[in-house]
Amino acid sequence: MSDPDIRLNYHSFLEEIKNDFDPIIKKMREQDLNGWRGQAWKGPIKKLKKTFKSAGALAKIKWASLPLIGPAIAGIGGYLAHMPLWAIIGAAASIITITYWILVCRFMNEMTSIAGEHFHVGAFKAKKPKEYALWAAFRHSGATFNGLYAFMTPLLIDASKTDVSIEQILNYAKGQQDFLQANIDTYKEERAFLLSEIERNEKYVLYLIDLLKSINTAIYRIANGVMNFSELDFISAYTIYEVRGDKLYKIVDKGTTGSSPEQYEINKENALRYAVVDAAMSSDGDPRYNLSSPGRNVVSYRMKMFNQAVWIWSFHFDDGNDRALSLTLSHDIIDIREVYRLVHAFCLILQKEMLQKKEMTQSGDSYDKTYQN
Amino acid sequence: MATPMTKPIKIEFTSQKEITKANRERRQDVLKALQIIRQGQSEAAASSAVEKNDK
Repeated sequence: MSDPDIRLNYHSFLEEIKNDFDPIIKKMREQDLNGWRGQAWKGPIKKLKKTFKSAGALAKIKWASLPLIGPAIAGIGGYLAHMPLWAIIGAAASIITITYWILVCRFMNEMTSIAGEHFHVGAFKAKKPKEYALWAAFRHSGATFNGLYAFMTPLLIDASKTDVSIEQILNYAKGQQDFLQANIDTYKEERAFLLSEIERNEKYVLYLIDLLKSINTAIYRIANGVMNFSELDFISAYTIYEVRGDKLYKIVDKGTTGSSPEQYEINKENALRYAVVDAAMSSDGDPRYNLSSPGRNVVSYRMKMFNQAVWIWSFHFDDGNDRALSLTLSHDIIDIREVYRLVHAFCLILQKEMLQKKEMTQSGDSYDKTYQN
Repeated sequence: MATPMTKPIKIEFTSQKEITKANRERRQDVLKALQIIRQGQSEAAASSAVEKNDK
């Protein structure tokens, strides 16, 4: 059997059964499971009208004139004539009661017949519980065969339309999948970006904590009177120059290659080449920067000192020194001016100490000679 | 005149508070940009699906 034939068969089958089963199912759903006994007892009385109609037709028959019934009636009448009245009434009542009870039993039987006129789901459940169990699913569901028929018709008959619907559903699902995938991809990108931000900030926290440790050590050393210029390298190697007249004189050189000249002429030509001279000539207070050699950074900062002195602090570090780059050049996470202020403050402390010592010794020598490494 | 080899380090923010605020705004901008890209991708996918259906 081909696929269209199978579809047609099922469709015809549904069409046939829907009109037979749906009224029964509808009746089952509408009826109450209780109260069927009352209906069973009343049922035969309601049927009396029909019975009387039948009796009316029978009344037209002249029973006594019938060959066998006539003598039988005469015999029963003669027998009853010899019986007492109470016995006749009792016998009649018994016969009526038994007859009515038989009629009720018959009516109950009709009530359990699914296709019967007097079907009642309560009687069906009470008298035929196993059959009722099979039908209970229909009673509790809202579905009908008519609905099933309507639902299945486009699937079984109009197959081409169904194919389009499925294709549309698949396209919709694909679109949703693409949309969700795009969301997932973006969330992944956002997550990666935010994680990189966290790592970047964590790195800065580590640099700052490291710096804080160095500062703490330096403060303890100041307290213990053993601090000197050679210990200010907690960020990078450095030099300090002092402005004297139109020249810069190197007073401290810690951790550099030692190639920095002992002195510079302060002029425009040198200011274009050396950050230290540029910083010395600057009036805005911003640090200056230059590459002393490829990959080698110099960041110079002008500091006003006691006694109208001017010092130029220069950080020296490689491009690979991320910590020094972050703390002196990159000002997108922390305010690097605080780092410059920090070295300035330490320089002031040390200069003050030097001046005090100078006063005490009255040596007259310049302090730069004392603290050079 | 020779080309200058030195340059000033211009610090555009006046406080750490400003830097933190700018960083927050930068993060928001990046996230917003990613959302715009996502929206564009979704719309492109939707229009291609419509074209496919129309065919």
